[in-house]
Amino acid sequence: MLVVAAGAVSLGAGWVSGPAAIGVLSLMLVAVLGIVWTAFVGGLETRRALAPYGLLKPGILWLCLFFLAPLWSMLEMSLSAKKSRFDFSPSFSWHWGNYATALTDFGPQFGRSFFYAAAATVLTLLIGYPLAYVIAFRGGKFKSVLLGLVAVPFFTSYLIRTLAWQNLLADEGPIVGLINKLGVEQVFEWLHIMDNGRLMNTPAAVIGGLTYNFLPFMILPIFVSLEKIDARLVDAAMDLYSTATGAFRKVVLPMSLPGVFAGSLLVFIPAAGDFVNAQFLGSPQTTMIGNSIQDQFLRQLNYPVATAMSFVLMSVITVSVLVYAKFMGTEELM
Amino acid sequence: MDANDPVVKLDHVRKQYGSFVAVHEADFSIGRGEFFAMLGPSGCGKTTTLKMIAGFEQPTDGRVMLEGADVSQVPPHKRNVNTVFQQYALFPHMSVFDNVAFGPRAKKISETETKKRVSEMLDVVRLGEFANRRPAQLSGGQQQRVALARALVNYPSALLLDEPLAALDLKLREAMQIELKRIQREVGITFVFVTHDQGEALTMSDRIAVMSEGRVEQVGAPQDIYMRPQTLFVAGFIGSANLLPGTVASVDGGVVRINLAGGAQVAVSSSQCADSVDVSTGARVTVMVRPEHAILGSNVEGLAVRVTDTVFQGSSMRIVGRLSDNTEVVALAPIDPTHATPQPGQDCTITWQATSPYVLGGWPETAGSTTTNVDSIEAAL
Amino acid sequence: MENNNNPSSRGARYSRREFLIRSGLVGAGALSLPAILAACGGSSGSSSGGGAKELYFENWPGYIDTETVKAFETATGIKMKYTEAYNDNNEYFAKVQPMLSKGQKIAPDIVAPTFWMADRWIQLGWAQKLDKAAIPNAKNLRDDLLAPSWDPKNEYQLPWQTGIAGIAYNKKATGKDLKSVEDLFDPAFKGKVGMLTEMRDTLGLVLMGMGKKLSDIKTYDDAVEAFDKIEKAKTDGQIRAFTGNDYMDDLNTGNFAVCVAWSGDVMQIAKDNPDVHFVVPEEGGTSWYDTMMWVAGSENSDSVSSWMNYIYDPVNAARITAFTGYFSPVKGVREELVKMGGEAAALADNPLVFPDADSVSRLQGWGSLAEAEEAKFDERFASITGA
Repeated sequence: MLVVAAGAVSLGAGWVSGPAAIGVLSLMLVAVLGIVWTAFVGGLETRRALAPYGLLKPGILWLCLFFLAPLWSMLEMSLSAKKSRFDFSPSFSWHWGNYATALTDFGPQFGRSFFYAAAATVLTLLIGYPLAYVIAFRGGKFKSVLLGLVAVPFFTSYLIRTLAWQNLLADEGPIVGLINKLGVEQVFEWLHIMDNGRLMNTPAAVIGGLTYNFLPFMILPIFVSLEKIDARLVDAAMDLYSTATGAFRKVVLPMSLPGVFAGSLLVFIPAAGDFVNAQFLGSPQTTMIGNSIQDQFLRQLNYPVATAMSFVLMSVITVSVLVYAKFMGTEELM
Repeated sequence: MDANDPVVKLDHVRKQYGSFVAVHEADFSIGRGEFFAMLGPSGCGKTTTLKMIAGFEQPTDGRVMLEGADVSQVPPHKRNVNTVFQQYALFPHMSVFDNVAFGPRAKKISETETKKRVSEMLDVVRLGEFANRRPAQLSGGQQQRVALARALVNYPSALLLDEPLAALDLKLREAMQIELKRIQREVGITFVFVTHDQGEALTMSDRIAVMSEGRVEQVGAPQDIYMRPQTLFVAGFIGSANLLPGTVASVDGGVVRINLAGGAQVAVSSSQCADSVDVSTGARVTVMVRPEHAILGSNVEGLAVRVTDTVFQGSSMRIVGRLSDNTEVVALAPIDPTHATPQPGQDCTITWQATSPYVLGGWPETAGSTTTNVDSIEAAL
Repeated sequence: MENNNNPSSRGARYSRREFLIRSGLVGAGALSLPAILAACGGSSGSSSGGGAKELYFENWPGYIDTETVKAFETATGIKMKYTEAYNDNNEYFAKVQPMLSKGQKIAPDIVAPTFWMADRWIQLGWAQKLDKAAIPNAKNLRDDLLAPSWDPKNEYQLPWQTGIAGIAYNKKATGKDLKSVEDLFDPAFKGKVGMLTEMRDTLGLVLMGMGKKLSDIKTYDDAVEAFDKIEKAKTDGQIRAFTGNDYMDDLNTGNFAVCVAWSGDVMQIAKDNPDVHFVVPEEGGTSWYDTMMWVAGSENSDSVSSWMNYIYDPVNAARITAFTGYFSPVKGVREELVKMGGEAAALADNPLVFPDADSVSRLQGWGSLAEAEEAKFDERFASITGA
């Protein structure tokens, strides 16, 4: 197992090449065949003992080859320095300057990404929770239909959905038209949703797009945790002198927190790294870190800085998730 | 408020869902400190009646009174009754302590007082050392006791129990029956419990309301219900009985003579007749004789019966026979080594003491012995 | 910002949606590693072999008619492969650099980088010298496209198609006709101005608006004022977005009152929307062109020459123009279009396909930027566009 995993990482990370790669490959093959052979001749007991490893192998191989190995070469790249602009194989040199650049030059983008992602998470929660609640407790025989409707937007491409928003939010589009007709544009301006009479290309549009695109990721886990709640627990709470609100606050809400937790992560993490919504619904003042990373990779061909930014993004997300988990006390909830 | 006022009073209560009538008319009272059972097969309306007392359902007609006040439209959290739910409905995300403290906290009782009450109540149900466990870490019987404590800690006017023992296995159920009685005696609170198990109802209750198809058939003490059933349903549903249809031949000086379907005539004291039974000559009546009251012998006065089967039951012998018109009857005879047990094929007679038979109005759907007993009801449900 | 910014990717023959899906997919993929890119790119197989002559041209999407490739195969007996995977200068550069920088071959024989990218390829040694003697029809090419400063003898590249960047406006939103670069900075259009992520077009127009000559721009310092001006407009909220091809919808619906635009795109919109207009500003417009370049490592010299010679025949060039509507690099196309009659003949009189002499006189082209200077340009422009 270890041999196979190490082999996969070393091949993927490009530590070995040429004849050495063939050597590593054969070593991996021997290791796999060895395990299979042991299982074959070893009888029932051995097979039973080896079975878990056999089942783990595809996953471990996959992760080693397509996660750990790229991660390693990214780490290496993020500490490399380019000798010239078109130096395509920057050499590893403990060049921490890439991280300094990532943090100093892209501070606003990082800040925006986390702010937008957090705002989208809160909004998806505010919109998604009541929806999941109604489907779970009042859905009746339409439960699966309603859930299906929640998932329907997934049947079209992410980009198409975002582009559809461009049309909805356009200056001459239906929503701006309605706002103007109702004469409430000042309210929207005051709320900083509208900017200079438009919805498109504003922070609100980006947050709105993120919220819309990630809403199902919030609804589904919350629905699952709500659906598991026995309706009699609500009766029991009301029987024990709680009002309907009290029963929700003390029984339903705490019991659905694992779903809220899962949903928040499923929304926040991809939203923080998203670049599609900022690109198509935003303006030059709303770019998120995903856009910057993409630009550094593809336009500037600045792989060291781009990988350093990716690592910063990854660590900040990891840390905030850990803090969040601590705060939410997930072990208590699960 | 008078201490003799009933705690719960159902005043001509009726519950209807669309065109379906769940409860036709429930009209009875439950006294202070009483252990009251609502008994009946599933779908008889007993749970609906309980929910109306708890406040989860509102009556279509009539009134539900608690401690003399009409609470028909009062929501559950404002009624001073508490429920032990089927499957207990304990809050899985809270410890045993927090579960029990839920009610007092909702009533904004001070935390010190809450703590005191909760530990007291946990002691009553003998779960003191389990206060910090989660419900999932407890056995079924322990969960049951948590549910009791959670309800009783609020000192409700009445405790409502919905099939409280149904989820337990037989042994535990028997232990819990005793435990429930003990707790009820200790706290002195009115218990209203719903069950389909007549054995449970008979052994535990002070009074029983037998329900069938949305109607309250009879309300009374267990002995009354058993010995003096007022309807054929009650007679058949509670315990075993031999139901012998016949017509009234004559009424003379407190003695009712009845011609049985098989041709024989029996005489029953009019004090052994149901309250509202019509005993005018020619009226259709049924004579009920409990198997344990049927005496087997060779007395010429008795009903002629041919033994078809005998079953040894340990403390007694169950003897099945047929009357001349082929109606099946059952007698329970004590095991007596000095007497020979009747054998299948043997002809005997059945007699009974004057206080044994009971006369009910109308004819049963099937004449003869009812096979209804605890096990068969449960099997049917 | 996404960088689907090359003018010539403004295909009329595929929908904007398809375009965006493609670019989105490429964008998503691009977040992976160069090492992975390398692993994906190298497997396309080799282009040459013994026996029958072959040719592989990787071009921008929607950039050729349906007949020319077949006609070329029939005329020459060369087996030709034509793909449309050249979607973006920078992306394509990122995709092929792992091979070409190591001296390995890539599959296509000819690719179509825009002039400034072609300059980079030549500097990096990724292009081969053309066999000019085998391309006699090169004499038909427009003189203004020949001998750029970075390839003075046209040794390495010849033009494929050309176009103009100027300003476009939606009259319904502006309420008046525009003619100056300064209109992009008119406070009346605050929040309704679009600029292209194609730096040379956006920056070029602003520089000309400040009275500079593009051929004089050699260093970052020469352009810093224009950069500052664009940045200020962005900070003030004057500029709504920096876009690639996706500005077409915004212009059409009026989200953009005025924007930097490519002539061919505007021609497409103007067909259906008479409010949309394109002008070469009085201060000047930029001209650009996409090249054809023989990729280093390719061995199909004869096929490459045959192809270039074939499409520089005005008859063949006119067929391509009739389909794409671009300003052809070949002289005599206008006459051929008239001969073709019908819709093609109408194009001959379209000022966006064949700009009048007055407009042409105001066009300027960029010179070559030294590597270090170009890096400064790109970096500053990227920080302004917000990416």
